[in-house]
Amino acid sequence: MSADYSHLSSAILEQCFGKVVQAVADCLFSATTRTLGQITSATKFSRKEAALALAVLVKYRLVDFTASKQNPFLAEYSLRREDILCLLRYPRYVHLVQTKYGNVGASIAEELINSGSDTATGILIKCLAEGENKAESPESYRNTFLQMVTDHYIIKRPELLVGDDQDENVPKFETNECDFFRHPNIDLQLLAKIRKGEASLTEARDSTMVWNLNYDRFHQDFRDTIMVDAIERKLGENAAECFRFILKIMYNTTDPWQRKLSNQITFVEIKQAIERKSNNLDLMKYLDQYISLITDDSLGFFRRVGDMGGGVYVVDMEHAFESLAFACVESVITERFGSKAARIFRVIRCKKYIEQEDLQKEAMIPSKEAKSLAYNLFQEQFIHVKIIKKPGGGSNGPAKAFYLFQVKEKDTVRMLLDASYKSLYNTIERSNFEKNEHKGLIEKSQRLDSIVETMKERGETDEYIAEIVETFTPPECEILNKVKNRIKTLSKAELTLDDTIFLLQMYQHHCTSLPTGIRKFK
Amino acid sequence: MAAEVSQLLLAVVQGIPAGATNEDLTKALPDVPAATRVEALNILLQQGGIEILKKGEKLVYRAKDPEKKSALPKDADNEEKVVYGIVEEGGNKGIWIRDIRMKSNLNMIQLNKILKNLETKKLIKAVKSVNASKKKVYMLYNLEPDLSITGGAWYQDQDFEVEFVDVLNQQCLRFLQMKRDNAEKKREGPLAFKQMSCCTVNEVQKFISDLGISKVKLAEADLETILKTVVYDGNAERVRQQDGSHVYRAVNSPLPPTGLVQMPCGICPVIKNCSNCGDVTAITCEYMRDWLD
Amino acid sequence: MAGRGRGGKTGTLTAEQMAMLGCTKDLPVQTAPPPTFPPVLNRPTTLETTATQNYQLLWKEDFLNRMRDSPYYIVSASQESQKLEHKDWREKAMTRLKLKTQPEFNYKAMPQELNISSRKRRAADARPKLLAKKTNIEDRLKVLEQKELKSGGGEQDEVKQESDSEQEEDQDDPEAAMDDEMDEDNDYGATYFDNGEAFNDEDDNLDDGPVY
Repeated sequence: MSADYSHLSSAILEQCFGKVVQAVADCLFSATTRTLGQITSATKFSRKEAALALAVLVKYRLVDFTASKQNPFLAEYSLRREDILCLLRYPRYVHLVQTKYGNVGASIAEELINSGSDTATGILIKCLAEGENKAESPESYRNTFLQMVTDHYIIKRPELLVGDDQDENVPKFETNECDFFRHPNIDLQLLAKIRKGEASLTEARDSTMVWNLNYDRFHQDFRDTIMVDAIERKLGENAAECFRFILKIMYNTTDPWQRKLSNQITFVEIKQAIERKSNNLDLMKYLDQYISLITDDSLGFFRRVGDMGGGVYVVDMEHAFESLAFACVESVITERFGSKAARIFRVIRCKKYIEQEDLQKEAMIPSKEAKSLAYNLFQEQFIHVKIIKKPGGGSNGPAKAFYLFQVKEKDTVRMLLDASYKSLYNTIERSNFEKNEHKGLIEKSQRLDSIVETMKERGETDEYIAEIVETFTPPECEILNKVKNRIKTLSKAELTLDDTIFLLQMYQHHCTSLPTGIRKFK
Repeated sequence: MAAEVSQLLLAVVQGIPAGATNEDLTKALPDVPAATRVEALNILLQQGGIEILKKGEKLVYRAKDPEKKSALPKDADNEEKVVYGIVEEGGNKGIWIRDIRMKSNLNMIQLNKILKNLETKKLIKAVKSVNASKKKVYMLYNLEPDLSITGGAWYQDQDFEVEFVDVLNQQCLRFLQMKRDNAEKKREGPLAFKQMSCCTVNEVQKFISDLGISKVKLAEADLETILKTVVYDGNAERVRQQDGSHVYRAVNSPLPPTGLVQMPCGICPVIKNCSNCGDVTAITCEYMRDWLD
Repeated sequence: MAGRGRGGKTGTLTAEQMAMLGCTKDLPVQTAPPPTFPPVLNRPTTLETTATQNYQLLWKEDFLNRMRDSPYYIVSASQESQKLEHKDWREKAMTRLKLKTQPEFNYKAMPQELNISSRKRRAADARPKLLAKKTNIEDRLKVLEQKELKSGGGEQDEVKQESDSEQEEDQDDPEAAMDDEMDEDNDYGATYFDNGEAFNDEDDNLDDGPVY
């Protein structure tokens, strides 16, 4: 966890939960675990405030706790650092569910986000209480909820163990992998009663089963989309469709987060799946060709490893994300240092180690320019230098040193990932600044909007409303629009920055052995 | 060994005025191992005794006109003979004046005089090297300087011709893209499309020479060098053929412009200095300001 | 492979080593400090905002507003009283209403020490009533707005006085004031926290002790 990530986390938490939660999380960020007492003394907040902040963080699943080994009555809290970034991905999660399951799904995801985690019945009641989807029946909510569980977008939380007094101080939970996606029993009749106030939620049969969004499942979809889109850009739509089937088949036998290689799949499996589910005649006609196209491509997503069953293949996640991460690194270099610098970078990466003189020849760039570009790349840590010393003539001759350029891929990616964290932090900071600078104006306009709305509801005349609206002067309007545009530009940058971050994180997961926060099931 | 063989080879090559192919040489000297033959050929090429020509798909070796090979006149004095010999040894890579001096044991004034003398008689010449602009090397007058000295087609008087290389790079890419666009129009399956979008170096050479943008004739090797830069630009891929040669085809990047470069921090030259305090912060940032307005 | 160790630390090459790379001699001689923001090669690439992005942007704005108005957006008691002085009456009203919106915690699944109030009433009881609350706030704000539109200053002063008196309380004992606010005005039902007393009583099984 870098300093850049720590600043970013802090800013994200402040944005969502305010300064108290931010400070408590900052305090946890720097330590493995802390007790409530340690937090209050470090933050100078009252015990009450610190406890409230912790409760919020626990509710939103950003803090875990366990009983201290020394004192089983004492809880030790730890921050789920990697998950803080997921707060920024909420819009993407909801959008994905919206595309897959429509508004009903989106509403379920939204309520799960709002409550952190809840029972199925609890979530459905909230969804139904929200006015927006009145047309939808409780059945459709229940069915969508269960479908989302089946598809692993919703996962069961570890179950609370009910035990003796000691457990009441620091509750314990039981994780049962078989239960993660087992359907809860949702009683619609009881649900109706609860809505009418004739029954209480505690009576629901699923009251001990608590659910939340399964981030990793969403990330799996994001990752697949990146790969399929890459194939489409390089090899066209049909190859992309083919690869989508390949991934689907892969998941039958492979843990989605297996780091390097998938388990084997055969040509016959792919063929059968496509014949069953696709109506793309071109793809069916040339299937073997599309597969060899994908296999031969330099992206290296897919590899033939044997001849049984018409050909045995594996998906090479490691190679795939190395290709993609460096396409990303190269695009940054092109924009920041120019296309010649990107050329130099590719030469170095392709040759593994290369001397300055050979570099300029291979890249066909005049020596002076090549030197200065390589120097810039070196200074900004996109490339690195390896020094090899050879003893000089005789035992006491001066050692001769060779300086070779190289790309230390993991270092380069880590550097760029940190730069992305810093950039994301900057957009949040700048956005806060813009909002603060024009706070008066923004608030005035919000007040005006709500007043106008009330007036419309009361059926005031248009003239009268116009008169009120005019209290907002044209110059004020102009500034306000400008500020709104700025904030929108910044928010959009936050979304797109996460594309880069996500891609580079996938590189770290599939191409290194670093811990990446992706656990099998969260 | 190789030096002796080279004399034999020269005799064979001289016997075939139209140019000897590799097969001719193998037939004439069946006992000579291939490696030695290559070594000997290189010696001859360096000395300027033979030249390589291309005949259809084959390479042929032809003896250079012995008239053209400058020979030291009979009346040359001993020092001249020694210096001429040393320069001759240097072949078409040339030899640096300091090395001549060390080998000849002549003093600088004397050596300069002799070199001048040989130069005016058009027996030797001085060539500037692209590797070190102040370094002159000497070689026999009739020799074609080695690529390592001239830098090849990309150098005009030791200056690297950036624009020329850039134009060629663009034109090569344009050709590859045209080829791919044409292949796309024919709908004959993905592999046919891929094959049709591949270009051989020879095709590219022909396209470039037809364009008439180059004053000098560019060899295939020259264009291969340029094509590699197109690959290094991420715009093409190099595909190895079964015979060991390579073909090239235009490709798209697998990613759209990444999110990081869609905002100023991704291209910021001072992001290293950027923090919460000091001159460079998200609030004081001029790039950010320009971008937002 | 001598010198490998140094190869690893690429950021620390000496001038001499850089010269070997052919780097230093081409660096311009610096005559003035470099500009803080040197000119850049390109402007950031701008792409059209897609429909997907628009959806996400709107959702996000909505989400952040919702969070800010939620009881989970915690403002320190001391910060709060400071802020109140600068706000106009409507915001104060809003803030007070917000404080009364009860947060919903499943304290059963949290360490006991986080439940700073009574453990008598559980989350489940509170839920249904909470649902009604959101609209209540809006209604009430509207009422306030209408009042302002009709009668101008008079009302405003009244509310102002009200909050002034609360502020005094705050200054006396911010902790207590916060609790009081939470307990008063049972219109909004489902009080989740008791006053602080219970908390003090129960805070006994920890050695690291209370901080105030």
